[in-house]
Amino acid sequence: MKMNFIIRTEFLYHCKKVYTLLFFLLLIFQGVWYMIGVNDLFANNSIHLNASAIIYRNMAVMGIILFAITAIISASALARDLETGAANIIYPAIIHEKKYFLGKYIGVMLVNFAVVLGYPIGILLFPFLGTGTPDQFGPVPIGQMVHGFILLTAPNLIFLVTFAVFLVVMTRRATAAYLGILVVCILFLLSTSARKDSLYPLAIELLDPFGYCSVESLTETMGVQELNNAYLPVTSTLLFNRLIWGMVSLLLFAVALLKFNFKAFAVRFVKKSSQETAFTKPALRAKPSAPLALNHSFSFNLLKSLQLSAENWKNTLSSPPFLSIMATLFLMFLGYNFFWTSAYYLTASHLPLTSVMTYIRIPMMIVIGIMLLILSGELLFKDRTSSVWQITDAMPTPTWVFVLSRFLTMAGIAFLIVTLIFVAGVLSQWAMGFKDMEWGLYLRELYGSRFGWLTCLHLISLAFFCGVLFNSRLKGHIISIALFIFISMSVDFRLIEQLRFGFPFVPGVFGPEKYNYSEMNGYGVLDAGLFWYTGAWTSLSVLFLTLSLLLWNRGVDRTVKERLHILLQTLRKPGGRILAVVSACCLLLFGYFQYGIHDNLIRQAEYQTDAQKEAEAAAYEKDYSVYRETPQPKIIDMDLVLNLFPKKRKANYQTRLVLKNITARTIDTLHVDWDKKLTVEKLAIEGRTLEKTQDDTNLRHAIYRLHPALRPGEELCLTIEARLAYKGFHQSDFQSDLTYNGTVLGTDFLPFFGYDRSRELTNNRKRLGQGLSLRDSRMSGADNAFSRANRFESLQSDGLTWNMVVSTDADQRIIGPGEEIKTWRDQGRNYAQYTSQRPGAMDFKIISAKFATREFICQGVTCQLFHIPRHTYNLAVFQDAMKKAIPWLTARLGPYPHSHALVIEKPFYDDEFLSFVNVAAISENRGWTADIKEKEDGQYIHLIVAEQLARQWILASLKVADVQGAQLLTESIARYYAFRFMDEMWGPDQTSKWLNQAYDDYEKGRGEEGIVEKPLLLVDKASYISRHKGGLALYALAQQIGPKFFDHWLAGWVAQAAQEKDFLTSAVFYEALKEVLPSGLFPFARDWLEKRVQYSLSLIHTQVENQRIALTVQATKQEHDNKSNIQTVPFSTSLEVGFINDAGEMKEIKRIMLKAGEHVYGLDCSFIPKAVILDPHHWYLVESRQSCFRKL
Amino acid sequence: MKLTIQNLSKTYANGVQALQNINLTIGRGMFGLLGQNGAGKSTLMRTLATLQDADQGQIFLGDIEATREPEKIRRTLGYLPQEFGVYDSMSAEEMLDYISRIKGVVKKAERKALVEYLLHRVNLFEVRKKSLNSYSGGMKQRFGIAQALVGKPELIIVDEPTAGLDPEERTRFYNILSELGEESIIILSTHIVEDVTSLCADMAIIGNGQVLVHATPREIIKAVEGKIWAKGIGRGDLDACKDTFPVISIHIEQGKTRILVYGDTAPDDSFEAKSPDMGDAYFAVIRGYADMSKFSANI
Repeated sequence: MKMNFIIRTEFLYHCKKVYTLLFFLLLIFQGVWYMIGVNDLFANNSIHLNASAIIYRNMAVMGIILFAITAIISASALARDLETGAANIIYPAIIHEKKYFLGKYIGVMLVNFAVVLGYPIGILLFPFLGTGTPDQFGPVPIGQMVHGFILLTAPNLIFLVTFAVFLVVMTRRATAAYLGILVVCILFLLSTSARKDSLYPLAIELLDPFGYCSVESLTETMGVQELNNAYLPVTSTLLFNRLIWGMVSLLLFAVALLKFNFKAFAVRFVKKSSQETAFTKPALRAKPSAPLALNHSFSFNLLKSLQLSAENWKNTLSSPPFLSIMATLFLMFLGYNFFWTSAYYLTASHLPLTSVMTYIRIPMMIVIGIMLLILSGELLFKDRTSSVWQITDAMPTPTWVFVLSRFLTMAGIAFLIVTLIFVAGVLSQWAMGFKDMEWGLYLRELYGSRFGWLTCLHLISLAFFCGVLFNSRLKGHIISIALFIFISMSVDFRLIEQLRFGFPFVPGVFGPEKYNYSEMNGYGVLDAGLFWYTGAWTSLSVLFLTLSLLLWNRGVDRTVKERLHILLQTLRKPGGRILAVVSACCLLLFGYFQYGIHDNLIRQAEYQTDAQKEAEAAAYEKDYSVYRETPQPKIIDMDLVLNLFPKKRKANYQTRLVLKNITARTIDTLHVDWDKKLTVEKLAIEGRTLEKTQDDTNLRHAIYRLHPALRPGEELCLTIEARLAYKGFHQSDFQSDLTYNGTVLGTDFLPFFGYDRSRELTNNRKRLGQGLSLRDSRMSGADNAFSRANRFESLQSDGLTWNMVVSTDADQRIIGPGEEIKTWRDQGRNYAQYTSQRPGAMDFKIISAKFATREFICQGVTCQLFHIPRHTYNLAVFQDAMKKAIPWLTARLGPYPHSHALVIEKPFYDDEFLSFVNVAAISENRGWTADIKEKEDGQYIHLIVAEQLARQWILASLKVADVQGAQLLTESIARYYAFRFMDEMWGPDQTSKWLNQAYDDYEKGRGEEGIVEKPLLLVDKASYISRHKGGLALYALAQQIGPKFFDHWLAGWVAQAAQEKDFLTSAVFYEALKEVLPSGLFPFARDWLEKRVQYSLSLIHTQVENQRIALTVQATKQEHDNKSNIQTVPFSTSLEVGFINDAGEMKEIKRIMLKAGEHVYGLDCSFIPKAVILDPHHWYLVESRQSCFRKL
Repeated sequence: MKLTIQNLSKTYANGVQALQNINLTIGRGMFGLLGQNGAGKSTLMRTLATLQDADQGQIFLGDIEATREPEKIRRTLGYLPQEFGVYDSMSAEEMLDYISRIKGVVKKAERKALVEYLLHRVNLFEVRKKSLNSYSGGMKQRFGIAQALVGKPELIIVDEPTAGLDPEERTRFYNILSELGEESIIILSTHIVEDVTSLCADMAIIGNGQVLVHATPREIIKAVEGKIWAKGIGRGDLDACKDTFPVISIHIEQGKTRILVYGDTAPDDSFEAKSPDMGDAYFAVIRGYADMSKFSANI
């Protein structure tokens, strides 16, 4: 028999099967579907919907459908011979077993490739399916697609097929291949979920069998043009990844080829028989004399289902494949717990908090879910697959006993899996010496409906229902798994926005953030709806189970008509009637819970889909943007009495505002905009009348006519009484400004006077969709007089004074802006009074939470740390950071501008740093729970505390105009001071870690840019530029002209600028900077501030002769224009070259005059270096720093 | 206690009429059911075992109507299907205990005694701890017999039970059935016509979904007495004989071909009379030559 014949036979065998066509169609569907999903990861409208980066990601990710299909096809090649018994006939007829193996292997590989072609076809079809307008698509990147297929999909497929075939050869079972591919899938999911938080991303990129992590890492730092058109660079990491897994494939293939021989493979047919016992021996045992007590009562049947369940349970547990899967899962849970880290801290990982230990269930739920669906189907049809049904179905046991016993068995298996997470968590905590185990949290997370045990039960019931409905194990598997994957992906990609349509998802599982659990506030408002969602899914699950009982096919397979006939017969019996009543009750309950969700979410909480939100924002802009520059009075003083009721998510207040017309025009209309949670009960004005001329309750904008009009310089007093309340519950919005514990209430509790630009759509892709004109910036330019006359981040007020009395629940503490005059307790409520020590910006927050406090004095400033009572882990480090940063900043910027400095912990989901007046609020996962073992591990806390304190100095001094570049002044300077603080506290070598981190964050931010990346000087509400690039830019400039000189100049400029009457712009800063910059550094400053420039440096070759070193450097400089087009420009600049000694320290730095192109540069070194590094101090924005380093 | 089958019919979705208006009354003792492959035996067996539904007709066991109350029938039923599987991971002892449990044997001690008794009875006690998967075909069949006997069934249905058993095992098995037949109704479906003659007091022959005859074996044999004629022929003459005579069966005896034909008289002088046995009667009936109308009262 020739090998060609075997290949052809195997290929044609699959081609003739209907499922092969089905698989092909499924992969076309997956191609389209994944294109839609991955598209949403990129925000910028300039990124084509069929950008090459999106295609590369899809080519690498492969997808769960593809995994499953590959497993099914590949496993069948050899296992089919055994399962059908064909091996008995075929094997003796074949002489060359290796040729047979090769023929099968190549045949099945070809089939897989043929089927997998559906995936790129789906990707190619995507532009023709009406998902976007033609201008949103670029030319089809065929070359990149082929490149991606060859680089990613093809090797991945070869690995998967080889692995599946290898497992079948080694175990002689198709199930081993399924489970093996499931394990690969787990490994892949773990890699992708752990990469972003890991301290060892390189290791994870290498471990990822599909190279997806490398592709993700490369594409997330690409600019728009690269994302659209570039070929994926084959970096050393990606190359190593491909080589490692290519070698693994080769090894698996070689072992499988060597191991495969007919004798060993067909051993399954040569069973070890028990010793034959003759039937003719006389029976030794007498017949039981007493009559048997047969019991068919309900209670006995109930007991019986428990006993049968225990029996099934025992059998499952004694199965080696099952045990090996459980062991693998357990090791993975342990591995995740031990190596879970947080990228913020660079050297330290996260403390093993209970919420961290239980998190693994979320990324693993797809895999665990699929496993449970498969096991449920297998168990349900166990009697069928083992052909015992003819015996058991004729037994006098009611159907419900069988179904219930199997459900209980599966419930036990699910319980075991979540308990493994629990055990792994507790063991990890114990091993890491962590004592604060939260048993209640373990219980709620692992055994509840938030991807816990209850969710597992929901999935099991789905598997039962699908299996029973289609009366087929295989169809049940396919339908239930496809349904589960479809819902999961759709929820993840937001194709299903409302979770009430996404069985079995509940709020807090897939949310706006990766982690939805806050140590301070739990799941917050997301918990409020849990009862309703759990109720809905549980009643639906019970309905699935009762329908399974009603529709279960006992005996021979029946036609649909016969089954309906039996169903009608069953419904006439008492048992059937009971089940029908239970089903009806479940349906009613499901409807009731769905109604509850609708009522709370849609009616009360006024939930809006993304499309509705966008439409509302667009309507607002279309209707009211004519008033964008209508002059409005500014608040100059506020008297406020605010009562917070966090547990009820309510508040009320009375306030007296003094507003002043600071424009040169008379103001005769007052525009009032308000937030959804706000109900204004009284709006009165002293000495004037307000006539409402327009009241748009849909878009929440009213227009009042002022009688008499407010002339320039005149003031008016406005009295407002209002209520704040969140009604119902939400499924994804944390509503953190009025929540149970950790309220951070912004100034939007007041109405907004004027046209609120923050309500406009800033993403051009969305604007395009809503028929709005495209924006080239989120902010106005400095030439816009109206914006220039407004204060950045404080549009309502150029500076105000306040006096506020705030009350909250008895167990919470109020934090307000300014000086705390007094606190007191009255009628079971806590009160605090705050006043401004100087006029300030209107960007403050009012915070209420259950806090513990640590207080200390530093240079006459009362410092307070407010934290979650349990989070005492790193208080000493925070205290140390404040104690060091305050004197250091005082030495440069003068005395701290307030009497008290507060650092506050806030719930994690508000991940942005907040700094207002004398308060810095830092998210709970930013240092509070870092695992600090060494002194150096605390550097991150020092960095962020220094930055936030520096911001308070800057905000107290600078009044910045609301135009492009504002954040250069409000954020970049503070970030620069933080880097300098790190320099002086820990040394420049340590700072370089944080500079690298900032650079990485800047690169990632570029990938998520929604409009066009602006130069630093024109930064437009883009923190990835102002904080990450801005801090780096000022640091690089300081290094060039001398840090001490720069510090001195900057402090002087800040002091001088604080005296300015007009609002400041970045141009003013830049002009002042240029005055002190040596002219030789102008191009350098221009690159950093005025342009978007990137250098590409590559140390191609090095040659050492004694202490003379010749470096061959390839250098290019690329400039981006304002449409993201890139052009290479000639250049010549001074570049530092660092020489590293045997101990790995940089001992000497020399300079070369770097020119564009490839050149050789000769340098003398005082010692023979071990390695050399270009631009060691990060003075240039280098595309990738990996090529700047070379060992000698 | 009697099993009464009235007007039972079943047509499959593909149009095959598996059962056509079957009427039978079966009393205590062993009842043999003979028929060719595809005659409808297994459909009838499965329908009696409540695994399949009839389109029409009723089945009564005493006063229990099986078609309406299958659960009640199952309580008194022991069923050994023609082909059955076992749970891979279970031993004979565990599986019998499992079956006893689902059959309703509550007490553990009773279950243990019953399982041991049945294992002894089918002589699997010594290998009771072995996985059923490692059993030979004969041992597995014996296990099947044991499971059918759990719970003292009043109606035992055995479908081709001796397939895979050697002659000695077959005898032993029939002895057990005979013992049980004193207290229960046993329906034995088989191809081996001699077994029916020796074991069953009552029997039926089924063909094309219809009961062709229902009588005692003796009556059936008697009905064809003097009507079976035998002749030795050359192999080349076989086709011509088939065309000429009502051949009911062809036998090879000591290398020579011998045909049996049905007729009130010998077709010609070369035929000699043969004393009929059940095999001859069976073939005469299923070939449609024998007139069994006198037994129609039983059908």
